[in-house]
Amino acid sequence: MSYTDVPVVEEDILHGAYRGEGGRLFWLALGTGMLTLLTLGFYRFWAKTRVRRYLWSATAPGGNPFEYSGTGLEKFLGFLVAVVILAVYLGLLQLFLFFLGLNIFSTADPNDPLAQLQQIMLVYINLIAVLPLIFFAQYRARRYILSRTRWRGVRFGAEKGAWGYMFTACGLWLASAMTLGLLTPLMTFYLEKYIWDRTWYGDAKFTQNGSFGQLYKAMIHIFIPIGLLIGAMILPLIDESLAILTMVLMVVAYIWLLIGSVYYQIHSWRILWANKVLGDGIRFRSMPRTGTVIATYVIGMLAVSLLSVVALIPLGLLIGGMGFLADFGGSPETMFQSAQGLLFAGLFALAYIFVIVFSGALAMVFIRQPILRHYVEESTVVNASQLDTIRQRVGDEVVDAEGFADALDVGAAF
Amino acid sequence: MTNANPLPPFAVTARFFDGQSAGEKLVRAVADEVAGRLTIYDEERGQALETWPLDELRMIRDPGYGDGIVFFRNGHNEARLNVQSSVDAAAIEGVAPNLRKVEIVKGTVRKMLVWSAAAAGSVALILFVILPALADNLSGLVPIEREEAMGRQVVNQMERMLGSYQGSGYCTNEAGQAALQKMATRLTDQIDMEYELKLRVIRHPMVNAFAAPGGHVVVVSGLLEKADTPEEVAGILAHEIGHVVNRDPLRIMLRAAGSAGILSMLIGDFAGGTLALIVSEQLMQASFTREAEAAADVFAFETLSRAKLPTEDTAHFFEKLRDQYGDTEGAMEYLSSHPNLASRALAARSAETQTTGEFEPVLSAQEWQALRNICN
Repeated sequence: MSYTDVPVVEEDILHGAYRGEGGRLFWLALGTGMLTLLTLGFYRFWAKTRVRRYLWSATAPGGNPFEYSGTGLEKFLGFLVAVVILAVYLGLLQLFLFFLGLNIFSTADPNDPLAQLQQIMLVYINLIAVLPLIFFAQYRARRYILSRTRWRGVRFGAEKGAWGYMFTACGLWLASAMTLGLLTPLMTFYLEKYIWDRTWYGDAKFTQNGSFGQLYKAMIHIFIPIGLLIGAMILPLIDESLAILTMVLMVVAYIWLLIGSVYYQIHSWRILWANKVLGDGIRFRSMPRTGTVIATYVIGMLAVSLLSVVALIPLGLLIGGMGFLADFGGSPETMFQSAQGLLFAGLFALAYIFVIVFSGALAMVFIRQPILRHYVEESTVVNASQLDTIRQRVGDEVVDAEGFADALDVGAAF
Repeated sequence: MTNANPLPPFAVTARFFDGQSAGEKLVRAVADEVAGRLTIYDEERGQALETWPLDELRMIRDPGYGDGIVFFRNGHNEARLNVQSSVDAAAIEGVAPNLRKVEIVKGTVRKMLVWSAAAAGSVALILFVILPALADNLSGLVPIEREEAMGRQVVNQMERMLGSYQGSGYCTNEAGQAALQKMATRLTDQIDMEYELKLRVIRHPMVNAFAAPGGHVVVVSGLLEKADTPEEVAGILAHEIGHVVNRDPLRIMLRAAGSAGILSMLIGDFAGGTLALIVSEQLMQASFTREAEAAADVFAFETLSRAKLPTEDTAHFFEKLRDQYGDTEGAMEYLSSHPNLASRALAARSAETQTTGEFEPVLSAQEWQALRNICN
C-alpha cells in the first residue's frame, strides 16, 4: 500500500539527499558530550545547537543544505526565562500534590492493592498537571527551531499559537484517552493540521489537507493484535486446555502491537505528508518503510551495546588493577576514608559517565542518523520549480527560544 | 591575513541564493586576495550580483559533510553562496581570515546577567522562602494517623536497606526494648507530646539514629556499641525526640517533594545528570536540615537538664565521633546535614546543668547491659 495519491513523476522534482558522515557526527557528539560533562551541564545548550547545525546541513534536498542558525546563547537565555516562571509553578504543584497524596491516599500497608492503585493514580495526576505545559513547550520549541531554519536562503516560520495548541492538544488527548485510543487518528490528524496550517516557508504557507478517517488505514496493525489479545483471553473460557495457546497468542500479539505502533507512526506520516501542500501546488512524497526503521533500530542498538561493552573492557581492567593495588578491605564504609579509595571511587564515577556519553554518541551515529537519513532519502518535493517564486519572510522574534522544552526536558529528538 | 605571497585571483562555480527568494542562481565567485574581496557573477548574464569583503566572509560551521560549504557575508543580508566542491571551498577558506568568527550581539551580556539574576532569584525564592513556609503550614494539616503510616513505611524501607547488611532487621530483645522505653520515658516525662513515641533498634554497624514522620525513632545498633554510658545514648535519643516534637521529618519531606522537580529541571538530563542531581539534592537537604539539627540539639540539652541528666556525656560522645571519623570542615560542611561535631560538643558542655556530677543514672547497670545486648 502506498497510501499516497501524489503522482510518481520524474520531472520537476527534488530528491531528498542526506550526506552526513558517521565519523564526523561521532566526534562532534562525543566532544560536545564531554564538554557538557566538564561544565556540569552548562554546555548542553551549545552541544544541542552544534549537533543540530550538523544534522541540518547534512540534509540537502536537491544538493542545497538546510541551515540551522540558532545559537547556544539563545537557548541558554531561553532556558533562564523559562526557569523564572517554571520554578515557582513546578515547586508549588509538586508540593501540593505530595500533600494531597498524603491526605487523601496513603494507607498503612504498601502491599495493599488499593494503596498501589492510588500511588499509580497520583503519578498520573502529576503527569496530567504537567501535560498542558509540555504541549505549550513543544509548540514554542518548534516555532523557535523553524525561525532558525533556512533553506535556499529563505527562512521557515510558524505563527504564534502555543496557547491554542495547548488547549487543542489537551482536548484531543482527552478524547483519545477516554476512547481507549480509538480516536488516536483524530488526535494525530488535528494536531498535525493545527501545526502545519500555521507553518510557513518564506511567504508560502503549508496546508494540511485530508481527513482523520484516512489514518485508520495505518491503525490496522494495532487493531489486529488487539483482536488477537481479546481472542486469547476468550479462549480459556471455551476450553481450559487452550491455556498454552493463550500464552503463545499473548506473546505474539504483544510483539505485533509493538511493531504495529511503529507502523502507525510511519504510515500516518506517509498519509499526512501526501496531503500537505506548500503554497499553491508544491507537494511531497515521503515514503519511509516500517521494516527499514525497525531493522535500523535493532541493528543500531546491537552495535551500540557491543561497542560500549568493548569500550568498557580497558576501563574495567584499569579499575580492577587499581582495586587490587589499593586493597581497602572490601567494605564500602572504609573505602571513602583512604586516598586510594577516594581516587578509585572518582575513577569509577568518571568511567561510568564516560561510557554514558560514549554510548550516546554511538546511538547518534548508529540509530538516529540512519533513521533520519532514511526519512530524508525517501522524501521527494514535487513541482519543485514553484520554489523559485517563494519570497523571504519577515523574521520571527522568539525570546524564550526552546527554554520551556529544555526545562521540562521534552525537546525534539535532535 | 598577512600573507607574504597573496594568491592571484581565482574563480569557483557555486550556487547562489539572494536571500530574497528561494530561486537558485548558478554563479561564478571570483576571490581576489589582493583586493580583499569576493565578487559573485551571474553565470548566464555575466553581471556582478554582490561583492563581499573577504574579512566579512563567514561559513556555516559544523558542516554535515566534506563536500559543499555554505558561505555568507556577516551581518549584511541573508544571501548564501553554496560551494559544492570541497577543493573550491578549501581555496576560499585559504583567503578568508574570519570564516569561523562569531560575533556576539551588543547587549547580550547585559541580557544574560539580568535573566540569570531573575532565574536565580526565582529559584531561591521558591526553594528558600515559599516552599519552607508552605511546608511548615501544610505539615500542620496532615492528620497524625497519615503521618504515622508514612513514617512506618520510611522505617521499613530503612530496615530493608540496612538489614541486608548481615541479613537481619529489627532487634526485638524484650529487656533491651524495655530499657530503651524507660530511657525515653524519663526524657519525655516533662514534655507534652503530640505523638506516641515508637522506638526501634535496627542491627547495623553504622553509628546513627534517626526520626521518621509520626513519632518513629530508630536507633542503629552501631550507636549502642559506640556509646560508653547510657547517658550518651540518652543525649542522642533526646536529639531525635527533638525532631519528633518539631515535626521535622514531615516538614523536610514536604520541602523535598517541592524542590525535587525544580532541581531536576535545572540540571537537565545530560549524562551524569543523575549524579549531579543526587549531589545537589543532598546539598539542598543539608541546608534545610542543618537548621533543624541545631534546633534539635538545643531541645536535647534542655530535655536532658529537665530530666536532671548531664550533657557532658553527649559532648563526650560527639568528641569520640570526631576523633574516629574526623570532622566535617570547610567545603564538606555544606554537604553534611549535621553541624560540625566540635561545635556541637562545645554547645553541649556550655548547656551543662548537672555540675555536681551526682545524678540518678538513666539506666541501671543491668538495664544498660540489656540495651547494649538488644541485638545479640
